[in-house]
Amino acid sequence: MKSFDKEHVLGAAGVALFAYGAYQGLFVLPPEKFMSDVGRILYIHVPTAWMAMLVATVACFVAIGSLVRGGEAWDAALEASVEVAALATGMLILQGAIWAKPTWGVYWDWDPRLTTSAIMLACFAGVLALRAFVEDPRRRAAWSAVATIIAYADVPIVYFSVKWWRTLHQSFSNRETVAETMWNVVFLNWGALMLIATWLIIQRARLSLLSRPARLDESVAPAPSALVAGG
Amino acid sequence: MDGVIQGGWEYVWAAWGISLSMLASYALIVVLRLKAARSKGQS
Repeated sequence: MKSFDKEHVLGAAGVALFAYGAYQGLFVLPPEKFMSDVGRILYIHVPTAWMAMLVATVACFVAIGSLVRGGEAWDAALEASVEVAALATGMLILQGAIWAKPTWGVYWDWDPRLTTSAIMLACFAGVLALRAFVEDPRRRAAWSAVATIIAYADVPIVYFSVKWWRTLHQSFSNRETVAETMWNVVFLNWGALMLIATWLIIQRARLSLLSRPARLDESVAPAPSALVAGG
Repeated sequence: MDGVIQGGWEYVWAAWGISLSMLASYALIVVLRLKAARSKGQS
């Protein structure tokens, strides 16, 4: 089987698993004790949050790889993973806003978890904007890698925000506070979303490689001068 | 009033619908652009 086909198996498996998880979350599991049916939003919201943070972590490692190893493949993977991380964060914020209206009474509050998530989206969108404005491919690769690492600094803050600042957003859940049947569907949907995200990143990286007219030197990392304007 | 949210399915459909639409739209755009880039590369 060609590698091209294997990618699609990943995506198809993700879609099939996600369809099953959505069916379980929407129609099979009972309503949540206090949130009632609104709690069904959490079967996509929590997996999306984990997906956004994990893909952002992948983007950070790829950025380090791009700086150390250099080359078009690393830069394409960086572009793809940052874009998917931004997409997931955008989904996360919209889901959270929709869930917040019936539970908190407002679509948005400047709660630390929400605020740091919005900053995360702005940071990763900023990396993509930076890529759009820098024409020199070596400089674009180096600058966006550095910007991604800086943007990633917000991700642990997003994760720990509910622990550091106890405000509106609920704190961490665990197997003692959530029924096992609910946990299983959350994990199932997370796995499905990660398969889909992996497929998307591979496809987007291929597109990035095919779309660039100028070729970076595959054999060398970005020169230090590429990090300096005018260098 | 028992502290339990009543109804709310419209929010459930909105959250799932918007999420799936965003994911599907992004996937479709990437696949179509990749297909166009491949056919451009072959010509």
